[in-house]
Amino acid sequence: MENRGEFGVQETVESDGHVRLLLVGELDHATAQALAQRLDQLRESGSPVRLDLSELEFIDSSGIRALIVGLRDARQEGWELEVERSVSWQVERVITVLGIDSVLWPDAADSADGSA
Amino acid sequence: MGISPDGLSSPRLERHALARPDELAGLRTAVWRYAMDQGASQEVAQAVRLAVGEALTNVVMHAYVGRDSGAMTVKAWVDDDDHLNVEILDEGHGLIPRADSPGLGLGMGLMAQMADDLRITNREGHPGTSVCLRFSLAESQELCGCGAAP
Repeated sequence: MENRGEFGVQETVESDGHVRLLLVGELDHATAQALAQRLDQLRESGSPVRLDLSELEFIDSSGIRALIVGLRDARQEGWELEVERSVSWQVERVITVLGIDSVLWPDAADSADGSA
Repeated sequence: MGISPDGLSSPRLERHALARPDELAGLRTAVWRYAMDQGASQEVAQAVRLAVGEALTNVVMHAYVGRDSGAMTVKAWVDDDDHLNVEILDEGHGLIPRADSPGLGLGMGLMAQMADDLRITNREGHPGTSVCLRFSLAESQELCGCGAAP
């Protein structure tokens, strides 16, 4: 298995005006600050953001913390920040183990409750 | 903790680095690759990578708070029981509670979920902490046998 390793963020602007951030490599204690800073900048600019975690090959509790804090700040300030549902298997596993699906995708949780 | 005899057929791994954020990926990746070299499945190797990464991050975040950074060491070996053992060592404060901890407290839970066995102790006769993790390789061997991998 090849480890591409180094963390990176590829930014594109989509047709609906969302800034898509494709995260690649490893999001950990060393690299989470870079993501948090970029999210802060985008929040200040008001640009709606979509996070794509489908190519992250590693995420740990520090990376999860950066996502959770970003989402919390977004919701408090009415800034649009969403996490795409399709994530890499490595990310899916951590989300499942920590039981934080409803934090990342609250609408999905609400729908599930509604249909119960 | 799994004990391995001297004169091992499978080599040990031992790596040292300064307890700095930019050293995390190197040590974590070394143990991950060692796990795969010892026959761990992709899933088990990723569990090793995660748990060891959390333990190393704890060293970086907590072991040397308020003082110059010190060393972090990772050792890995496979025991007679087909378990991969990983020990993460530092020479810092030892286990003391922190009211000002910057984390969310997720790392410990993640470590415990990924490893089959987890032990955290103050080092005997030496300053610092030892974190011992144990992972079964037996399941990986079954997966290898049937050709299926997660």
